[in-house]
Amino acid sequence: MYQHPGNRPIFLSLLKFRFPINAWLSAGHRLSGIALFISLLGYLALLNLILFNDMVTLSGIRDHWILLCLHSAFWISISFHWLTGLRHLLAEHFTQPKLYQLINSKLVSQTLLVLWLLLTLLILQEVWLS
Amino acid sequence: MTFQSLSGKQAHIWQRLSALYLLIYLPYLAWITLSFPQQADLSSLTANLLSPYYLLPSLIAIVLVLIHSWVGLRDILIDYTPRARSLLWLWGLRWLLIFISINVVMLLINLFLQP
Repeated sequence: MYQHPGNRPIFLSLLKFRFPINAWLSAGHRLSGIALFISLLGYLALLNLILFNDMVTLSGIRDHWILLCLHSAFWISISFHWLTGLRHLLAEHFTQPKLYQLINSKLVSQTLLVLWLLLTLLILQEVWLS
Repeated sequence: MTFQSLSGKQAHIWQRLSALYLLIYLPYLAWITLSFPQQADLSSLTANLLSPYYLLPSLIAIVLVLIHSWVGLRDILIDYTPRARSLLWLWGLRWLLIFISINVVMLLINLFLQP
């Protein structure tokens, strides 16, 4: 495995940089991955509680705000991770210059963000209002 | 575990294979979740989880999520943790995933044994 010879990581003030939208999406893909992992740990803890603790029942906690927050965090993160992941996969598969440029274009990235915002609204409505 | 033992190519292949499967599975999970009755109790939830249409794809998904998590989090740790402590973090992650795997197996056995 490649190893950088220097003393890494070197802290750089990220606010000093102007990143393209694709860089934000790529960083967001990683962040949403971490959020997903944490929310999966939450679901696992919850399932353990329901199955091994008689005082916790599914009907008793169904509308609890912690569970609703967990659902929201999970589905919002997964929708972002899914959309940006799909873009990564498409960019790796379609390597012809025209298609590759289209997949990595600003328009596609902005469309992805709009789609995600719409999905987020739908998720919040489903989790909190239905 | 050493830095030399961490592969790049194999990890990339597993990451892509798991991503392709999850790309199809996640909309299916969303559809199942939306179509599931909201006021269901544990026994009907269990019956739903253990139905053959849901169980096999979900078991495969759980295994692939663990692999996907390992590769993704491993890369984040390698990229962002100080070199001197990277291996320690990677060992921690590996043990956390092993603990999660054992817990998932325990939960599945418990779900199967539900009356």
